[in-house]
Formats: sequence, structure tokens, C-alpha cells
Amino acid sequence: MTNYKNISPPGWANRFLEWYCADDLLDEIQGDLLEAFYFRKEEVGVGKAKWWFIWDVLRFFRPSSFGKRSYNSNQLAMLRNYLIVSLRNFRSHKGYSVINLSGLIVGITACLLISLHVMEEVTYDNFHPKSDQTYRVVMDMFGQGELKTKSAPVFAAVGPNLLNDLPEVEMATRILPFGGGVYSVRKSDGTLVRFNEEHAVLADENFFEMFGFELIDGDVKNVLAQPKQIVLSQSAAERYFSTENPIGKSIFWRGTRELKVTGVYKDFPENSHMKFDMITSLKSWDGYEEFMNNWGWYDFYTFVKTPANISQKSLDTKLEDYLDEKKVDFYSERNVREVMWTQKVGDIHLYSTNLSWDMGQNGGGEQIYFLSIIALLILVIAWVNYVNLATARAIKRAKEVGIRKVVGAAKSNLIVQFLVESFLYNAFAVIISLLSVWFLINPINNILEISLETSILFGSTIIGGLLVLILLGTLCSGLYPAIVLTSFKPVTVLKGRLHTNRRKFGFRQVLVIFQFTASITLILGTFLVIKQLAYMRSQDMGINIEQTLVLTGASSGSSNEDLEERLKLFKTKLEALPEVKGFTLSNNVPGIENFSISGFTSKHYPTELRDCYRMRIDDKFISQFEIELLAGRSFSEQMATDTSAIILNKVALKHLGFNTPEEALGEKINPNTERPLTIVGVVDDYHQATLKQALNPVIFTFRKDFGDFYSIKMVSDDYSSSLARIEREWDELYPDNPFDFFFLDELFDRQYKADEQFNTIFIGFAILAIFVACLGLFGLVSFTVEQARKEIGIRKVLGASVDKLVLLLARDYARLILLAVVIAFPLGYFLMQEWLKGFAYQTEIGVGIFIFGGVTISLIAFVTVSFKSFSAANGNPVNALREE
Amino acid sequence: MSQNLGNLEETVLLIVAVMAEEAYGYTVSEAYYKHMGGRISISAIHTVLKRLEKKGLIISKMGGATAERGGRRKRIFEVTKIGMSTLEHIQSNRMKLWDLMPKLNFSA
Repeated sequence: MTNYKNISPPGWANRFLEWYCADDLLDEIQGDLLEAFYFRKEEVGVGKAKWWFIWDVLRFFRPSSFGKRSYNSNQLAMLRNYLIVSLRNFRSHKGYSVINLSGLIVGITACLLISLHVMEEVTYDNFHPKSDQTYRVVMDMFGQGELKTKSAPVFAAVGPNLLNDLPEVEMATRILPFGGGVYSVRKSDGTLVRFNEEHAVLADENFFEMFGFELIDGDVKNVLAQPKQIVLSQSAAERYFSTENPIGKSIFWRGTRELKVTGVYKDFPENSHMKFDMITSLKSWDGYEEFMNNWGWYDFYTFVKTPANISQKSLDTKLEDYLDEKKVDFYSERNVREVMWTQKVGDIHLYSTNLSWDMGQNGGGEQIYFLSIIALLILVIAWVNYVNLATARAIKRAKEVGIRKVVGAAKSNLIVQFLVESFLYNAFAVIISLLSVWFLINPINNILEISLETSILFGSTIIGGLLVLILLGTLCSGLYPAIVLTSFKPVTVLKGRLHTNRRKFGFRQVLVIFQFTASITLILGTFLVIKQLAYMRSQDMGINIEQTLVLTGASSGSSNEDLEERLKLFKTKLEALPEVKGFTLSNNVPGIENFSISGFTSKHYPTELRDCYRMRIDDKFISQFEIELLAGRSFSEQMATDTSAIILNKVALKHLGFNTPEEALGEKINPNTERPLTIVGVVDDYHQATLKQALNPVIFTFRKDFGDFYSIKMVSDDYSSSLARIEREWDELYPDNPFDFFFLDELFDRQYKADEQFNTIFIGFAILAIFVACLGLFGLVSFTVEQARKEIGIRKVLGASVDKLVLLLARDYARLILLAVVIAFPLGYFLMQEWLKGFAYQTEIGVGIFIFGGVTISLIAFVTVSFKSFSAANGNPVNALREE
Repeated sequence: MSQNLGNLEETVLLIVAVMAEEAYGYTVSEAYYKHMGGRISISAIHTVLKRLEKKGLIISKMGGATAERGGRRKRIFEVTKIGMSTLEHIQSNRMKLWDLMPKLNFSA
């Protein structure tokens, strides 16, 4: 027997119907719906019938069902009147209304855009199962008691051993970021599809259980369980197999290793700090069996999950001395130590900074706080401006208020009226802002090369937030004008006497000063960012990267010998081309971060390992890139001993304790080891990265016939056909390797992208701040001018000229602007210095920026002020004076 | 004919005219589903019925209450004379048009 409750329609829906439906219509409407429910529950089942009933109730919720109950209530009539009056007011003062509205819109739009960004940032990696209990194990590496490196990846053995030893760890997954290189697929028609993959990794078999990435095809437990299995992202699958089903097909890594595709996953979401295009099973790695005991190789990103009752702190305590026991001999022998700790997976994106070999662009946690505060500030300023302008208007509308009062409006009525008006403004502004964000998102994404998503925009958080915003805005921005307006005494108002002291130093003045301080600071900042960027670009790099085409080296071949042979052939062929002036091999080029770093000893530091960056280059590198040789010589193919020769740069020279280049020549590096290296040359420093970073110590070693990058110096009038010729040669020799190229100067310039983005954002904020500040100023001017109309009229009648009057009015504001300048200049100077500290090479701040910034803001302010005061000073004094 | 009838209005009017049992919101909606195949909500049916009544094509009276309806009474509709003649008028206009349809014979 089904109980009664289950077979009747949902009570709340029924009550809702009874509530809104007019009594005389209830019979037919409710009757029909109940009858429909009665029969439908037999037909389609109770559950569906209930939904149907609710839907029908909602469909009936319309004016025709309400009857004519309360239409002639006085309250409603007044509400309608308020609406009409508001709209009329809007229409009759279009200019003012549009200015006021645009202030709100700009404020809310900016606030929305920032919120989108903030929300995207704080939701990073929150989609993993039990993401609160998912941690990444990282470690601090100490040498001689001193912190040397903080490393994001840890040892191969850490993952499985933690799982065995600690009850705090219930799942562990390792990711090895060494899957890069050429991947190729043989099509049925014999052609070879090949690409260089950067974001390819190897991972433990439980990868898709650990993380919330969605497998479209393949079984979560088995896709990575066996050696030689690979899982592709959707876009990678399309790249290699277009429309075909990739499952079970073969894909070749570096030409020789055959992998079988076992699954396809949805491309990682934007808010994941990891971005992998392909994942190979970790078991495919040669020597996988030894990983369990490998406590030396630390290239494994290791993630663990804990049971629900384990805190991060207790896990960290266990991890802190975990390695001491495992590596006791190693540690005591070398006087080193490694200490592991954890990061919550959701915290990696915002708070994982200063870790070496980290994945993704992390950091910026403080920025998010900062941005949230800015967003709130912008909103508050926009509201305050609204208040300012609305109160200024109030004086004009004082008569309306007076009449309403005389006719019998209570104070509460008037307050409601102004709240209705501010509600209209706020609601309208929010709607327009939503629309403008919708339209602005794509251009903004393009300009800043970020990826704000519109999907969040219509999510419950933002929409809910906006509703709160409308209500809050209505109250915040409506209440003050409402109270000011309603406090007018009708008699005074109707007589036309309404004065406050023009020179009073009130809230409005403070606000304007604040706004202008912010604007000036931002303008100064903008100029400085532009100047610093230009400065960095104009500096001598110490290296000539012009007209250099760089090819990504071939990595797909049957053996290393095969690759070497082909490279030799390719080199000869290219050098035969008339436009090719040089060809050199290296494992890195300027503009790409150098990750290879090792410790070296010298006679000045016989025991202490001094960290230097390593570059492997061939004999042409130094001459082709026009790096200055300070002493000694470059590598030479003729010298058989050059396999153990090295070249230092100037920083490395000092770093290893030598005083002059000449002194170092012939000296040994790593003197007391099996393989000492001889210094044959010293070169001048050049910038591997932008001038943001200081110069690093670099040690060059010799390696011919091999390189990750092939740099080609070209002199040509027609680069596209030269490029085509080079590509033809490539395709002939390297049918199994993709032709990937870039121009070195362009690549190098791309490093300034982040700074340019910062600049764009800065300019955006500066414009916004100026706009908002001008609105505030405009509101203040309108307010004063409105009050001083009689004063102006009398002065004019007594013979004051228009210029004098404008100056008189402008003088008040000049004081405010001046005060803002006085605050902004030192503040700006301080902030600019702070910002410049992030750069190794800094431009002079200079007086020019201040003069230029000050003049710009003064001009803008003057235009704003005169806009209103000219019209006031030009007006016929009769109009101002006859109202009594 | 002064009355302009919409497609849905015409269909509902026709349904009320042909229904053997009592025609009210729920039964009309069910009949619509039975004859026309598609579903439209009861609220839409109510609107159409009200409009037809306003145009004088149907007339309503309150009927009896049943248990299934939770004791609520029905508003029962019947087609008026004007309604009937409107339907006939539409039909004859249609037929005239159909007669004008060129009779092509491809098999010849």
C-alpha cells in the first residue's frame, strides 16, 4: 500500500497555487490540475506526474490567474508613480543620467571582470576527488646546513615507499615529465603524422583515480596498467588520428618506441596547474622495476591522498625525517639533508612559489587578495560617485520633494521613492554590466592572452552575488540621497533657499582627493612600466640574435648514430644554400629557460660545489652569435682534447674564484675528480633571459653533431622562400621528424609578454581610475555650482568676467588636485621603486615621469571642472537670480 | 467573418465541438493530445478557452465536482451557434481553396 502522501501532488506547489490564484478561478484551475495529476500518475508514474503538476502550477502563475484583487491599492499606485517619475527624470536629464549610470556600469563591469578572474584562480584543482586530502610531496634540499634548492619533484622511490610505510598515505601517484619529443603515427595510406610534444609525461597507473580528469574512452583502472600504453587528450587524438578512433592504434615515440593508445581523456580544464597532452604508462620506462629503491633520481612529481581524519600537519611531521632513515649513509657522507613536506593540490597554483622544476605558472596568491580589494574599492567608489551625483541632483529636485511633502507625503514615502530610483539605476547598471562583460570577455582574453570563461558568469555564485549587489547597491547608494532629500524643510525649499557652505571640507572633497591620488599613482606607474620595457629592450644583450632561424632538433631516429649521421648531412646541405651564413648546434638558445645546473669545484673552491648553468654548444656557437671572447679560444673540431675542455662566462669566472680571464686559462674545473675539465676560453656575459633576471654563471661544454636546437643565421631578401627551401631539405632527411621552427628574436621578445600584459592591465586600471575620478570630480563640481548659482549670478551682475568666474570655481578644485599630487608623488615613487626591485636591470625613475603625470592629470581635471563651470559662468544671471 | 481565429484557437474550438463528453480544461487538453499528437499545457488550454469565450464562440457554465478534482467544480464549455457557423465558414473557405488546387497527374 502506497502511503497517502506519495500519491497527492506536492503540497507546497498546491498551496502556492491556492495562494496566488483568484478564488473564483480556483475551481477550474486547481480542479483541472488535480484531475490531471490523478490520471497522469497512473499513466506516467507518480514522480513524473508530480513534476508535471509543479510545471503546470508555474505555468498558471500569471496575471490572468491572480484575479483583480489588489490593483487599486494606494501603495501600488504610488509605486507606479515613482517608476514613472524616475523614468521621466531619467529622460529629462539625459546627460546627467547617462554619466551617472555609466559610472555605475564601469564600476560593476570592472568588479565583475576581476571577480571572474579571482574565482577562476581560487577554484584551481578543486575538481579532483577528495581534493582536500590530495597533496603533492615536495622537498627542501640542504647542503652544508644551508638551504640549496626547493624541489617540486622528489625521488622515484618516494611514492611507493610512502604507500607501504605510512598509514597516512592511502594512494600515491608519480608523474615523470620526460615524455617529450617527437611522436608519430603511420597512416593507412603510408603518410607519417608527426609532432613535437612538449607536454607529454609518464604516470603511474592510478593517475585517473588520483585526479579528476575525465576519461572519455578507456577504463580508469587499466589505461596505464601495462608497459607501452599511452592515453591521449582529445585534442592530441584529433591531431594524430583526426576523426578515426585512436583506441588500440600504435603511436611511435622518438621513432622507435611503439606505444598503444588505450584511452582518450577530455583536455585538462583551464583551472588545472597540470596541462598534459599525452600520458604514457610509467611502466614503459626502462628500469621501472628499480624505481622502488631509487633514492637518487628526483624527477618525479609525487601526489598522495590521505584518509579523511589525517591533517596536513600530521602528514608533514611524518615526512619531515622520513628520508633521514632511508638515506642515512648518503647524508652523513656528503653533509647534506633532504626534508619532505606537502602542498595541498588546490594550493599549488596560487601558493607554490620558489620551487625549482615546478609545473605550470604558479604563484600570485597575494595578487588575488590585492585584486579582490581593488574590485571592492572600485565598486564602493562607483557607489559613492552615484551618491555624490544623486545628492547634487537633489537640490534641483528639492522643489519636487517640497511639493510632495506639502501634498502629504510622509518621510517614508519619499525614502521609498528614492530607493526605487536607485534600485532602477542599480538593476539597470548590473544588467548592462553583465552584457558588457559578455561582450568584453573575448577581446580581453585576446589582448591579455588569458582565458576568462563566460560559463562562470552565469553560474549561481555570480548571479546570486549580483542580486545581492543590486540590493546592497540600492541601499548603499539610495539611502543617503533619500535621507538628505527628505530632510529638506518644505517651506525653505519652496522659497528657493537652500545653502550649504561651498568651501566646507567634507566627505566629498576627501573622496575626490583619494580618487585622484589613485589616478595619479596609476598614471605614474603606467609611464614607468612603459619606460622600463623600452629600457630593457634597448640594452645590449651581449649576443646577436637577429636573423636567426632556430629549428627544434630531430629526436626521432633509429639510434643516436643515425641521428648524428643525418645531422651531419643536413648541416652540409644547409651550408650549401646561399642564404645560410651559419649553422650551429646547442642544447639551448637565448630566450628559453636553462634548467641544467650542476655543482662544480675549482682550485679556489676545492670542496664546495659551486652551482653553474651548463650549455652544450658546438664550435660555431660563439662566433655565430657574436659573443665576445675575452681570453683564450672557442672550441675547435681539430682539437681532440676539446671533449674535456670548457669555456666560462664572466660571472662563472668570478663564481669559481678566478680574478682575471687570463688567470683562468688552462686551469682545471673539478680538479680532484676522475674527469677534470680544462678552461680553454672565457667569454663575455650575454643574456639568456630578459633583463629582468641577473646574469648567471654559465659553463660551456663542447658537443658536436648533436643539439636540441639548430640555429641558422640567414641573410635573405625573401624569408618565406628561404624557409621553404630549408623545410624541403628537412623533409628529405627527416621524414619522421616534424619541422618546427621559430625566429630567435621573436622568441626572445615573447619573454616580455608577462610584463606587457601587466602594462596593459595597468593602463586599463589607470583609464578606469581616471574616468571614475573625473566622475567624482564632476559630481562635486555640479554640486557646488548648483549651490553657488546665486553667488555666480550676483558676481556677474556686479561685473565679474566669465574667465574670472571659472577661475574662482576652479581654484577650489585646484587645491584638491594639488593635495592629491602631494600625496601621490611620494607614494608613487615608493611603489615604483618596489616594482623595479623585481628587475635586475632597472631604468631611472626620473623627473620626467612626474612632470608628465602631473600635467596629464591636471589637464584632465581642468577640462572636467570647466565643463560644468563654464556653462554656469556663461548662463544668464537673470535665470539664477529671479527665483525667489 | 469578423473573427480572426488563430490556428490553436481553431483546433481547440473544433475539439470542443466534436467532444462527446464534457469539455473542460483537462479533458480538452487530453483530447488535444489524442487527436493532435503534441502536448500543450493546461494553462495554455485555459487561455485559449477564455479567449474563445470572449469572442462568443463558446459558452461556459459551472458543472459538478468530482473526487479526482479534490472537490473542485468544472467549467464546462459548449460551442455556440456563432462558433459552429464560424467553423463551418472556415471549412467551406478551405474546401473552396482545395478545389482550386491544380490537379496534376504525373502518371499519364
